[in-house]
Amino acid sequence: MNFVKAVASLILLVAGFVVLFDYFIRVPGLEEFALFLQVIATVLAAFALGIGAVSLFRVHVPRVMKRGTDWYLSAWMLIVLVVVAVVGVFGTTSHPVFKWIYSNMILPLDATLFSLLGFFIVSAAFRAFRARTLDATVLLLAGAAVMLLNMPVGGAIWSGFPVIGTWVRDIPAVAGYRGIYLALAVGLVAYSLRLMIGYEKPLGE
Amino acid sequence: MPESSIWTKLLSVDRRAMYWLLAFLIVIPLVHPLGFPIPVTDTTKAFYATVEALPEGSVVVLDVSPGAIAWAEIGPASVAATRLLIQRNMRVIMWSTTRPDAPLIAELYLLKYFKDAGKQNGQDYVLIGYVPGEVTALATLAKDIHYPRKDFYGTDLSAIPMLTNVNTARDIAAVVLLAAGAEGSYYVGQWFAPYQTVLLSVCTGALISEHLIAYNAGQLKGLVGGSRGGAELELITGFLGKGIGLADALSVTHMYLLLLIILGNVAFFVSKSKAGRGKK
Repeated sequence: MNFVKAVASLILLVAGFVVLFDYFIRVPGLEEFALFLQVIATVLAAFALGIGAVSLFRVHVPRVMKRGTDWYLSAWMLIVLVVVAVVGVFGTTSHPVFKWIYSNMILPLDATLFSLLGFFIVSAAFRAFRARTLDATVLLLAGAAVMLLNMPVGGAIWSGFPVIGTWVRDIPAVAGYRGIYLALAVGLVAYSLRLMIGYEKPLGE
Repeated sequence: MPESSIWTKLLSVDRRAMYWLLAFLIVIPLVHPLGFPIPVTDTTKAFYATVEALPEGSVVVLDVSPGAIAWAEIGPASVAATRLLIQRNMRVIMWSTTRPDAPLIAELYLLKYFKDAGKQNGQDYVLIGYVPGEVTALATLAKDIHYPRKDFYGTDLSAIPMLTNVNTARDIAAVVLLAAGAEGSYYVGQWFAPYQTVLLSVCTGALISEHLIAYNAGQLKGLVGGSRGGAELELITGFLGKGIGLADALSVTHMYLLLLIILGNVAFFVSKSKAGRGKK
C-alpha cells in the first residue's frame, strides 16, 4: 500500500469510527468533532452535483463535436444546462428568471412525462396482465386486491375488498419490505466495517 | 362471421380509444367530483390526532421532498397537512435534503397559505430550502439546525427570530415528511432513533408499504398515503381542495383498469380455446 492510500484509509477509519461512536455514545468533544466531519461530508455532497455536470459535458461535448447519433439533442441539453446553471449560480435559485424556467418548463415537462405512465398502464392492463401461469395469477389477484383497496369506492362495492387488500398490503408486502430492509441494513454495516478497516476497496477504485 | 370474431376484434382494439377513454375518466371527476364515499383510514386519523395533540406554537419541520412528479399525487395531502399546521399556529421550518427544487415547490404551492393566514416569514415560518447531502445532511441538521447558515432568500439563520432558541432536533416538536423517496428511513435512523422525534408522513402510494413498517413499529405516528390519503385528510381537517376530485378520479380509473384486465383475460382465453378447437 502506498503512502497516499495509507493516509486515505486512516482518514476513513478515524472519520468512520468517530461518527459511528458519536451516534451511540455522548462524549464531550467527540460530538463537536463528529459534527465537523458531517458538515465536511455535506459540502463534499454539494461538490458531487458539480462533478455530475462535468461528467455530462465529458459525455455530450464529444458527441456534438463528432456529429454522433442525435448530436443535436446533446447540444440542446448542454445549452439548457448552461443557461439554467448561469441563471441559478449568478442570479440564485430565488431569481425570478430561474423560477420562471422552473415553473413554466421543468414543472410541466416533469408532470407530463410522469402522466404518460397512466396510458402505458392502461395498455398493459388490457394486453399484458394475463393469468397465463399460477405465478402470474397470484400477482394479478394481489394487484387487483390492492387496487380495490386504493380506490376509496372499493369498500362501498363490497366490504370484503378493503379487508383482503389490507391483508395483502400489510402482511405479505410489508413482510417482503422488512426482509429487504433487514438484509440491506446488515449488508451496509458489513460493507462499511470492511471499508473502514481496509478490507474493501472504495467504489471507483 | 365466426363467433370468435368479437373477442378477436376486442383484442385488436385501437389503443388510442382506450387512451381517450382514460383521459375522459380522469377529467370528469376532477371537474365535477362524483361524491363517492371516502372512508377515513386509521393511519390518517392517527396523523390528524398527533398534530392536534401538539402544543400550539410548537416548532415543526416540514420536509418538502416531492418534486413535480410526486406533487400531482400527494399535493392535496401536502396542502391539507400544511394548512392544518397553520391552523394550529405551528412555527414551521421547511427544507429538503433530497430535492434541489424543493424550495420552488414550497414557494409555488405552500407559502401562499402562510401568507393568506397572515403568517410572517422569519416569525412563523422559514424556508431554509435545499440542503445537499441526503442522509448525512439530515444527521447534521439534527445536531445543528443553523449549519446551512442562510435561508433560501439569503438571510442569516442567526438573524431569524423564530430560530433563536431552535438549535437541534431536541427543539423540534415533530417532523411532517412530504415523502416521495427514501426520506422516511433517513428520518427514522437520524431523528427518531437518537432523539425520539415525532415523525409524521405524507407519502406517495408506492411508499405506503415501506412507511407502514415504521408506522407499525411506532416510529411514524401517522401516515397519509397517496391520493386517497389526501382526500381523507381533506375530509378530516375540513380543508377541502383537489383531493376529493382526485380520489374520485382514482376510483373511476381503477375500476376502468380492472375492467380492462378482466376483458383482456376473457378475450385472450376465449380466443385461445376457440383457436384450439379450430385446430382439432
